[in-house]
Amino acid sequence: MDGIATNLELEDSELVRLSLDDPDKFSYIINRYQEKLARYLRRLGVRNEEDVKDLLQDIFLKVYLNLNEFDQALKFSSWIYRVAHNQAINSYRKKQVRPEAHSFPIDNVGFDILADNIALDEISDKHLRQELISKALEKISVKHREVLVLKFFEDKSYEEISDILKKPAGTVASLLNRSKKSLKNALPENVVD
Amino acid sequence: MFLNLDQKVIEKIKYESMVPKPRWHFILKEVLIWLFGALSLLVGAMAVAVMVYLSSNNDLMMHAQLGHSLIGYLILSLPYFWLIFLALFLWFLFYNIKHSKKGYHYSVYLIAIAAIIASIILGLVFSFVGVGQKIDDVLARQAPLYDRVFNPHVGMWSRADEGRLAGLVIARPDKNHFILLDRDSGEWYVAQVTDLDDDNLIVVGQPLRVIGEVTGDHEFRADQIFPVKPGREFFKRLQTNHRPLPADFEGVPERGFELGKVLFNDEGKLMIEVRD
Repeated sequence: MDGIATNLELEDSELVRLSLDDPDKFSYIINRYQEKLARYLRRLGVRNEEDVKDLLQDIFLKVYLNLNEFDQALKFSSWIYRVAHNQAINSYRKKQVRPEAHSFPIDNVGFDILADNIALDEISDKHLRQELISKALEKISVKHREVLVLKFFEDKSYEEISDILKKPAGTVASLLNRSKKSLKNALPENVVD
Repeated sequence: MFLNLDQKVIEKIKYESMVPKPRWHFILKEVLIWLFGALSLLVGAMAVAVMVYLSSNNDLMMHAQLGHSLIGYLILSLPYFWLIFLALFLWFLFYNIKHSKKGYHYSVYLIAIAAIIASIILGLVFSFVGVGQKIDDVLARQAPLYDRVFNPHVGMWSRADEGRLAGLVIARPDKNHFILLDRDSGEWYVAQVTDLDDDNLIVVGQPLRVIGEVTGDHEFRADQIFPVKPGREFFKRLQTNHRPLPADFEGVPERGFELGKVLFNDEGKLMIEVRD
């Protein structure tokens, strides 16, 4: 147990180094990230839990095979999110289906920040506010949804989003603005000015 | 949390004996991307150098004499092949930079502008050291369809009906006449009506461009004579349509050759001997 505790305190880059020497150590990376990535995949629009599980398995295998590609200049979390993002998009392409937004679990702090950003904070009923945003998120394009998810629900910085989506930081900023406008347009007319 | 996901992944790794791809694999990929990028830059710069060479000899200021407006002449004389070629290699350069490890940090516009500027600067350097002329000479000597694809000027100067004629001087019977072989291997008996500034301009075995008028069947009056720069090697590979003459031929073969002796070697190539 001491070993597990020690490993759980290690930096990601240290866990990568250990996993390269011993595949069993890779389980620490899996356990550290499986919940975060599963949540991210659901928010991207992977509906079926079996699909989430299969995708996660593929993602971790791909991460393991490409461990040597991990660049220390990058945050490991950005790199693993990038792999997850690409894998999810490839999966949609293979199945030739458009990802549909999963109903977002209510009571997430991301809703409040997003509501504040699109000037929806005037609606005092928190539950109603979150439901409106959740439905609007289902209507907008994946391109717009994914950047909003990363910024407001995964709490990623511009630089991290830039590394995950492989887009320049400036492009991320303008994409985020367009996405917020798109989300606002997807809200019922009576709730926006 | 998915139950035992970590164990399943580790089991699969072990069962299928998966090992992480070696680091050199990723380094090699990055090196190849930059290598192809550098190669694309070099080729694009070469295209720029050829275009500079063609453009600096495109006689733009002669557009009125050649019967065109400035814009019309410019459109006719643009090196379209090289422009498309440059665009293609600019795209390769752009693609390689964009797909390098850090390429995504930069906007597509910034990469595109950097690729264009780098190609132009290197192209000007190449042009300065004569790379453009060298490439044009090599292509003119060897490339099939050179006159149709690589150098639009050859076609523009092959319109005897419009007063423009270019070809290889194959004989100079006297001081005021010479025989010109055009790109379709047609022979023109050219009468030179003006004195030349450069007396060494009309040299047997060298190409020329002539502005003037058709005066008869394959007869042309030359009002102005110019040397050929881009495409000069193309004219040097021209051959007549005449059948090879016997090696012991001593007679007068055709009109215009009264003062010369025309012979062909074993390969059927034209050999000219001009009498003093």
